[in-house]
Formats: sequence, structure tokens, C-alpha cells
Amino acid sequence: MDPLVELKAAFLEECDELLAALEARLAKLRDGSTSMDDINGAFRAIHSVKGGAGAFGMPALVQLAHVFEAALDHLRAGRIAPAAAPYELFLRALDQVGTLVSAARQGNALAAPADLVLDLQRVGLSAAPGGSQAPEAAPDLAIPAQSGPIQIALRPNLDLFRRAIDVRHIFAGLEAMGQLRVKTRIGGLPSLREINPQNCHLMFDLELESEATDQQLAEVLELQLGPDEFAIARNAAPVVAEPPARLIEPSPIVLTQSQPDPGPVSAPPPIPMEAPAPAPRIKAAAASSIRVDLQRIDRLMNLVGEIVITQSMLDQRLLSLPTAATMQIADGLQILSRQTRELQESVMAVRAQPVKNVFQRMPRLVRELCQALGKQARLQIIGEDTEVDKTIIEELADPLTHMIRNALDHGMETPDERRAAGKPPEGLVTLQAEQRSGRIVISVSDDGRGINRDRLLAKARARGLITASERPAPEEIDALLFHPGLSTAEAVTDVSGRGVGMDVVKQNVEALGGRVLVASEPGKGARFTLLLPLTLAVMDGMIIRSSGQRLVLPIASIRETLQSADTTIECLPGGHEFLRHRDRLSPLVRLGEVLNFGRSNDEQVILMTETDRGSQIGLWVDEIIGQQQVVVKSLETSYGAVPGASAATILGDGLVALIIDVDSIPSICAPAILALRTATHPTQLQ
Amino acid sequence: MTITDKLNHSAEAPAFISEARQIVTFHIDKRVFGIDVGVIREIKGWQETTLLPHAAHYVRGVINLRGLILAVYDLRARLGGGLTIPTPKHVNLVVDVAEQTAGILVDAVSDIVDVPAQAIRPAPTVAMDGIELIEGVAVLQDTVVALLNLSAVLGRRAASPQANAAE
Repeated sequence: MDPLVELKAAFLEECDELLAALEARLAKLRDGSTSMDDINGAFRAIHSVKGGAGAFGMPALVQLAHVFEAALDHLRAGRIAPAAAPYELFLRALDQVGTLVSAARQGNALAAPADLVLDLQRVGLSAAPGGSQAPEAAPDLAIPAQSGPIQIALRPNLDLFRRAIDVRHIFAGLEAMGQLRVKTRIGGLPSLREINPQNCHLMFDLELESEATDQQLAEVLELQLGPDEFAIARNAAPVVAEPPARLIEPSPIVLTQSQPDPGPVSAPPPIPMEAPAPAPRIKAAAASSIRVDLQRIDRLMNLVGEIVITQSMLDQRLLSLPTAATMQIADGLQILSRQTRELQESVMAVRAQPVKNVFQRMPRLVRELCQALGKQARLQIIGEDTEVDKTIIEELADPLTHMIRNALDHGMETPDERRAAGKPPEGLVTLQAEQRSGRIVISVSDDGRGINRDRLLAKARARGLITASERPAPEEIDALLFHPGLSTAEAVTDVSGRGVGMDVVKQNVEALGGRVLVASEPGKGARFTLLLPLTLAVMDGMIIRSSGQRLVLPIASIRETLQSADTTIECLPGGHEFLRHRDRLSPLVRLGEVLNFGRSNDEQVILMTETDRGSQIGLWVDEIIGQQQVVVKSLETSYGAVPGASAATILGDGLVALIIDVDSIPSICAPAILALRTATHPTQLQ
Repeated sequence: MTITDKLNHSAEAPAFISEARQIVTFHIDKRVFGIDVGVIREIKGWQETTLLPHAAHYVRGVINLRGLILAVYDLRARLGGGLTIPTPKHVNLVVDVAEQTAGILVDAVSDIVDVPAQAIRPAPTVAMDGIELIEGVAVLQDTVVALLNLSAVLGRRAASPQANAAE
């Protein structure tokens, strides 16, 4: 393939990431962030798009990105307060950049819409900020020499570091306002013998060439420093301490010109084939990150998995040797085992990505849905740094979109309805990710009206899914939501409500080897939870034997282990057994029997486990064999879903052992479900 | 080993006899079956399996094939016979079918034969156990080889009713 074409394809792919980053930054700013990080991040993103577009000869993209960048620069220079920025326009521009990029991907060159370009150029003119900042708000960069450098003396207190302040952040904040020179004074440093590295003995003298007022500077500095820790002084050179109010209204042309042309590769002419122009750019990027074919990582991952298995095989063989000979080898093996584990974690970290990549598309979805539906809602995101395997991340977008749509369309009331119900008119949708007991838990919850069980039930009856005589439990009614063809919206809307949605979510998630749960409280809201496996993960497992089969239980799901001889086991009619432990009755399940391996009647150990619904189940097994790290191997790909098992692993002797999915145990033994339900209402038993 | 050698050899040399299929034949009791050479990844001796909960009775469990976990199907049981009592002489045919790798437990592998297209007839329409798993019949000199429809043998649809019932 033509290398230039390849580079261009890589750039266009990168554009998607840049635009996603830009959108995320804009969303934060719009939601009230004033952080320079966000402003600079937004600026950098569009700047990179512009640079690349120039290098690959895409004039329309350059033009649009350029005016966009210029508009954002007003924010960066403090000429427009983040709260006053025209975000609708920015989002429109963002979309247009996206359109140009995808057109370019298909080999089409679109022109940048003139009205949008014009609108962006007008940013900063029409929005002249009021108040005391007005005179400085539209500086004319053409005559920057008016005021000399501003002298700032930083004299931090000794406890600066202990306050977790990084002076470099202060410098970065100032650098955004103009050219900064930093001199560090180390005269105050005590001798090495006396120094306490937790104290800050450094002092800084800064020179800043900027149009900023003392007040603006103080605002930046006061974010991190106390008022006694810095002093601002103006150079004597300019006569006036405050820059005079300038009367010159910058014209759009001045504005765009005043935008410094960034970087050497921003807009060279279209490059001939041999031109090495884009090379430095790519090289620079390569220093921080590279793109690697997923298959290569997978191969690496598999190899490491094999090493782990070989490792535990060696451990086992060692046991059969005479002790005297094994001592030294055992030491070495222990080190090897630690290193292998590190290697494995490192390889896995290569594949992992923060869920942020998907989550950051959601605020916009919420905004757009609110507009379309006439509702008010805020999206709260928790745990966006949770890392998940890349393959799962890619599959998450659709289910999440469905779930959020569902929450806003069906769950969330209109502002009037909310007021009538005594709730704040603005609803809250929470998107949360966390890693819990070896799996990823992602939930979407809202504080809306909850699931309308009556209507759901009526509909299910009307469709013949449930007979008139059946009286399903509330949770069972909620679970009907996942039935294809059931939807509670009163009318089919554009947003959702065609009865496809939640069943699709269920299918998608199950295809990933995960599950969906729903919990709802009428009038208070609903919560949808996705339980996803960490594919390719390594897990700490407890190896047990039950009905002659070795099985692995995730350590994370085991609360405690008991010798069944020491416990009180109650037998209820129908053969259901319960464990009385710590004043609590929990259902007891003979694991081998539940899994259809036959009854062993030799169960001696009880593993108390907790399912994701919070209920405890005792698993009765024959014996505990040991504890070890196991490599999770999917069964889905080679065979299909296995009830009761989430995956399999290969033990040290080369044989396969199933990894038990504790959460699914109640559902594979229907009688145990009944028992569970009884157990959650202990009063009925006592 | 000789069969495996022959297998490797024939895999290397593409079929130059036109209109002929290369079939690996194997037997269960006295019945002779065949599958295309192309779907066979390797032939392994029987090894101990790990049981799968709530699986169909003919799914003997899973084995580890150099890091790959695959399910073993007992062909005798699949065809309606009883469960095979495996000995070290029994073999697993490791096959790749539609992105799935699986083991097929048979009594023994016999040969690799070239079967001309005209020797293959559609499966007879008589009622007998497992007839839906046969895609055709090849008549050689002295034997009748039933050609297996592997997708049907491994069919998840057939294997899942228990799993569904358990949900």
C-alpha cells in the first residue's frame, strides 16, 4: 500500500480520538469546569487535527479547524469566560469536522460550510465579556510590547509539597497566559544532612509576558497558593501599571491573523509522494504511543498464559522430588512465579483501556435526548478510569446507549411531573463503572419513576407471556423488560419504545459472557447493571473437588470457609438444606449435584459465597485442594455458554477445570431460587 | 502414526484428481463414517475430559489441546448409541467447523481415501437413529461410508435444550 495513504488513514483514525477528546473537554467546560487543562486540551485536540489536515492536503479541514482553533483560543487567553462560550456552536463545528473527516475517509473532499466558518470567526467579537475585564478582553496582539514582563515572586511555605501542590501546575497555568521564564532560587536549601525532603525550600522568580491583569494572575495563583506566598510586580518599563483601555476593535481578519501559525507542519502544500514531510510528525507521536495489531498482543497473551501453566506444573513436579534437592530450586521458582505474574499483568495492561473511551460519548447523548424529550437531566459519571479489555470496550457503546436512552425516555419524568412528585426538576442519571470480584460492573441508574410494573404485567398478560393466574414476584416482573417485544412507553417515540432495546442489550451482554440485572423502586428510580467478565484475565482461584470434579472458585466471591462438621445444617421439607451460621439462615447447595455431576455425599467443606445480589449461599463441596492463580480461558468461543461456569482454566497437570460462576448458581437450580426467596424474608422461617 | 503421516502428506498436496473428495474414514462398532480431510486439524488419542455441567449426554466434556479448550463429542452417543467406554485406543478427531474447534470421539481411524464425486449419493431417507447427521453415502468397493454433516453433529441447537431449561 502507498505509505502516504496508510499514514493518512492512520491520521483519520487518530482524528476520531482527537474529536472524542475535544468533545469530552467541551462537555466539561460547558458543565462549569474552568480548568486550564480542559481548555488547553480542547485547543490541542483541534490544533492536532489542523496540523495533520495540513500535512495531508485537506484544505477544507484546515480552514474549519483553524477558525475553530482561533475561537477556542479566546477561551485559552481568558478573553471569553468558559461559562460564556458558545457551546452549541462549538458542538456544531465539532460535528462538521467529524463530517469532513469521514468524508475524507471515503475519499471525498467536502467544503467547510461558510456560515459555520463565519460564526466561528465572530466568536470573541459578539461575545464581548462585560465587567471589569472588558478593557483587557480584546487585546490587540499586534502591539504586544505595551507592557513589560510581569514579575512574580513565589515564596512558598515549607509545607507546599505536603499540601500536594506541584509547582509545575502553577507554571503551566501561567504559561497559558503568556511567555513565562522561571528562575529557581535554591539559596534556602539546607545542607544534605539537615534537609527534610518533605519541606519545600525552593523559591521561584518568574517573568511573565502577558496582557493579563494582576487580578487574573492572582486568580491563577490563588488556586494553589496562599496570599502570603506570592507577590506580583510590574516592570518599571511601561509607564502605566494597568494597560490602557484600547479602543481598537479587532476585525475578524486581525483575529485570524493574530492566531500564531502553530507548528512547522501545520499547512504545507499537498505533499508529493516521496516527500518526507509527515515523517517527523509520526516519529514524534511514536515516542509516546504506538499502534499495535491486536492479534500480536493476543499471541503474547496466550504465550504468557502458557508460561503460567507451565510454572504451576513445575511447582507440582517439585513436590514429588526429595526435599533436600528442592530447597534451592523452590527459591528460584518463587522468584520466577513473581516475575511471571508481573509479566502477565504488564501484557494485560497493554490490552486494557479505561471505560472513559465509551463513557465520554454519553454526556452528549444525554443532552441531546433531553432536548428531544423535553426533560431535564444531569449525567453523573463515576469510575471512568476503570480499565477493561479493549474488546469489551468496543462492545459497550451500544448497550450503554440503549440503557441511557431507556432511562431518559421511560424512567425519567418531565420536569412538571418531577415537581409534582416532590423531586427537583432536573433528574440525575448515574453511569458507574467499577471492578468487583474479578469482573467489571457497569450500572446505569436514574432517579425517575421506576419501572411501571402494573403496565408491564398487563402487557405481558395481553401478549400471553404470563397467564392470568400467575403472580410473579416484583423482580420477575422487572425482568420482563428484557423480553423481546415488551416496552412500557405509552407511545412509540423516536427515541426508544419500539420494544427493541433492552432485549438487545441483554443479547449483546450475554454474547460477551456477561449478564444484565435490573432493580427498581417505584417512584424512586431504576438501576440497570451490566456484569462483564474481564476476558483473558488471570484470577486468584480456590481449587476444590466436588463429586469427583476439580472446580475453581474465584477467591473474590468466597467470604469464608467452614468445616461442615462444625456447623448446624437444617433440612426443610422438599430436601432444601439451610446453614445456620452467625444467626443467619443461608441456603446450602451441594455444588456437584447442582452442576449435574451426581451426588457425592462426601461433602465436608462449606464455602460461604456472596452473589452480586447480596444474598449468601453456602456451597457444599468435598474438599479444598488449594489456592492458585489461574488463567481464564473462555468456553464461549469453543463451545458455548455453560450454565454455572463462567470460563475454564488449565491446571498444572494439563487438565481443564471449570471456573464456577457463583452468581449464576441460584438460577441453575430453580428450587434454590425458591429457597433463596424464603431466606431473604427470615421472619417467615422463625 | 501412519494415518497422521498420510494426513499431513495429503494436506500438503492439494487434490489434483478432479471431481474427487479426500475422505478420512473411521468406524464406530462396524459402521464406517467419513469426513473431509480438510476439516481435520489433527488426530489425538483419548484423554481424560473435564465434565461440563448440564451438557447433552453426548458431550463428554472439555480437554486441553495445547492451551485451547475444546469440547469432545461422543459420536456413538450422538448417533443414538450408548456412551463409549473409552480406552487408550480410542481417538479424538480434532476438527474445525465454522470457527469452532471440537473433538469427535470415535473407535478408530481407518484410512484416507479418494472418493470420486459420482460415488457419493444422498443420504437414504429411511428412519434410523442419527440419520439427520448424515449428508451422504459413498459406496467404495466393499464398504459403504456414511459422510457426516459435522455442523449437525456439533449443532448447538441440539446440544442446548438442557441448558435452556436450566435458565
